Amino acid sequence: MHSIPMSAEPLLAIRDLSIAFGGGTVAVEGISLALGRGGSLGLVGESGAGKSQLALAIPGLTPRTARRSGSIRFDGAELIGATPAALRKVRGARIGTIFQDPAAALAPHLSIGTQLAEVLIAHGLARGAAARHLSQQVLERVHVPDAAARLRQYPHELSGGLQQRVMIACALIASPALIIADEPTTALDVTVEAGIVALLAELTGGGTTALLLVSHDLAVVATLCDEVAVLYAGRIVEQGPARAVLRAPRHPYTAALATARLTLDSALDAPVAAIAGNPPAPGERLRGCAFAPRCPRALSRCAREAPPLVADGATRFACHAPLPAGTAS
Amino acid sequence: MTPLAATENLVVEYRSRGRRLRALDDVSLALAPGESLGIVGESGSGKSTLARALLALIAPTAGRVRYKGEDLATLSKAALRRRRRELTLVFQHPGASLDPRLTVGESVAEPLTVHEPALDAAARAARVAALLERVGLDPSHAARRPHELSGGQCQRAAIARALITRPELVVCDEAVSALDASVQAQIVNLLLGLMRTERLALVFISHDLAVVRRIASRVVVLYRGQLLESAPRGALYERPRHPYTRLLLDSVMTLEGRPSRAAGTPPDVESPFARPAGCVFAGRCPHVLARCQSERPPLETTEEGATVACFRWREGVTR
Repeated sequence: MHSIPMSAEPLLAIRDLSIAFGGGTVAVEGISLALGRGGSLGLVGESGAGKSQLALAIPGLTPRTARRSGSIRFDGAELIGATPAALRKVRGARIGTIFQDPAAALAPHLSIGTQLAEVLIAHGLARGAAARHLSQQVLERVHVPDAAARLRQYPHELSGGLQQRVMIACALIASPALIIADEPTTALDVTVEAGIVALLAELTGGGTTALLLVSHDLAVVATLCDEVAVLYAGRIVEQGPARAVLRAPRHPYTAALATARLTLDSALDAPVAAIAGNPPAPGERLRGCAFAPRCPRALSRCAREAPPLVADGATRFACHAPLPAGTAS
Repeated sequence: MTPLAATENLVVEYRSRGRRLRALDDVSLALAPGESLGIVGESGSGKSTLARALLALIAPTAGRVRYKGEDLATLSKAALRRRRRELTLVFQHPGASLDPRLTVGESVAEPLTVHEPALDAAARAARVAALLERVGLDPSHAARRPHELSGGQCQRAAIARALITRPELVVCDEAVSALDASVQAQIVNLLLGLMRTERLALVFISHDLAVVRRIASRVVVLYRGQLLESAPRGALYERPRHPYTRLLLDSVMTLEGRPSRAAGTPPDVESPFARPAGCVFAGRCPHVLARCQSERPPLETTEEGATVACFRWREGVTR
């Protein structure tokens, strides 16, 4: 492994990012994150926590009505305030995206070969026979059987698992430095999911392509990511090495997410450890910690003062009453 | 004892452009009053067809669906309507159970206007209010519309609608699959509590083996319309006999972050219209024999009270 000098800028550096919509709805607030070249970072949290909004803001896919502030530096360039033309150059070529529903993301009227070649043509990377050759190659890389024949097929002729592989091929074909995957396996059957997770691990494990994975499934993040950031109500409440954070969380919210999961060895004689209550409604601002009303460890101070993110070893968490280090959930 | 509900050699076929798709192929199962039966399967396994057949929402192509011993296909319309109050369904998306134009209270009360028309408005409102409280909703939710509620609250309302006629059997078709794990846990606890207090029998259909394990005392595994294994919970999860059940269990990921043992298994590429002569799982099975391609394995009963359709289960290939 070659070492990277400490001063080198990470591939992606997000600083104090906030995204707000009209009517005072805040999607995310005060987010700072870094992702190194070839690294992998998972964003987890419940629906509405802001994880997808955060990921989509990076390639400039947030709705037009959103107000963004802060900084998103990618590959040495600032993306907030970048022109639409500059963002288009980054999307597809330098940042590939994978979404939950391949049937919605792929164009139904274009053959697989045309959709793959379009990425290359749009970025001036190849055309004609060269584009066809590269398209077949990338389908083989994502283990689509009979790649040459598939180029002529249309999305509806493929199973959900194969469609997802084609979308991964579209994200990968221009050799981007970063792949953003938003719930890439959520709509898939369990056995198909296992195959797609193995594929993403293979494609991003080599240290050349970084992965930003949005998932509500902690196990998928533990399998694919080195680092994790846990979001609650638009803020990061805990971040650090993925397996350490998810298996021995410091923030009570991370712990609650981990213990609410049903597993193949969950106790059968006790109720499932559900998190009581609901996350705050979008736009609802709390003075103290947003999780305090649901938190089993909340102190009176938690309702008054928002805890800052503090570091302990490799982990950072925002909590006045953290769990002791090394307690497995 | 007569089972509460049963299917006998049930076959359901759909027709599409002149081709026949066999969604359920010779499926026999039974559940007792108050029992919870899990149905596990992936897309195309026939699990949603089974849900609809159990409620007589689609007619069998062959075989029978019985409820309290009666063949549902032979009931008169009026008799079937009377049965419908005892047999209800909760869908994956509350949107399928709740009318977006109605308030939650109106949606929950609606089945009563069909099944208990004699009930006056005040009595109906009291039943709805008591049930909303039982499923963990606030009385004020009755006046709201589905879009004003969270996903978990909508699913609670859908469950209330399924329970308002005091059914004996509720079929849940992927009822918690679209929810976050934290909310899923709340709904699973609610269903477990309701089974106890309301003496409900549950058919719980899901692709999520961990959720099914928590709810069902017996589990049926379907693949491409066929029943491959049926076993008491302990046996199925501790000692699966069918290689497909093993594959499903191996596909479940954990926080240990180990890659799944199932990742290398070839995907299902056969057309749903294809009708293999042998075992439906042969094309993906790591333990396949020549015989599996040509001959359908019969269902055999194990010493643990499980049934399994595999030529090799006695050899312990799934260990």
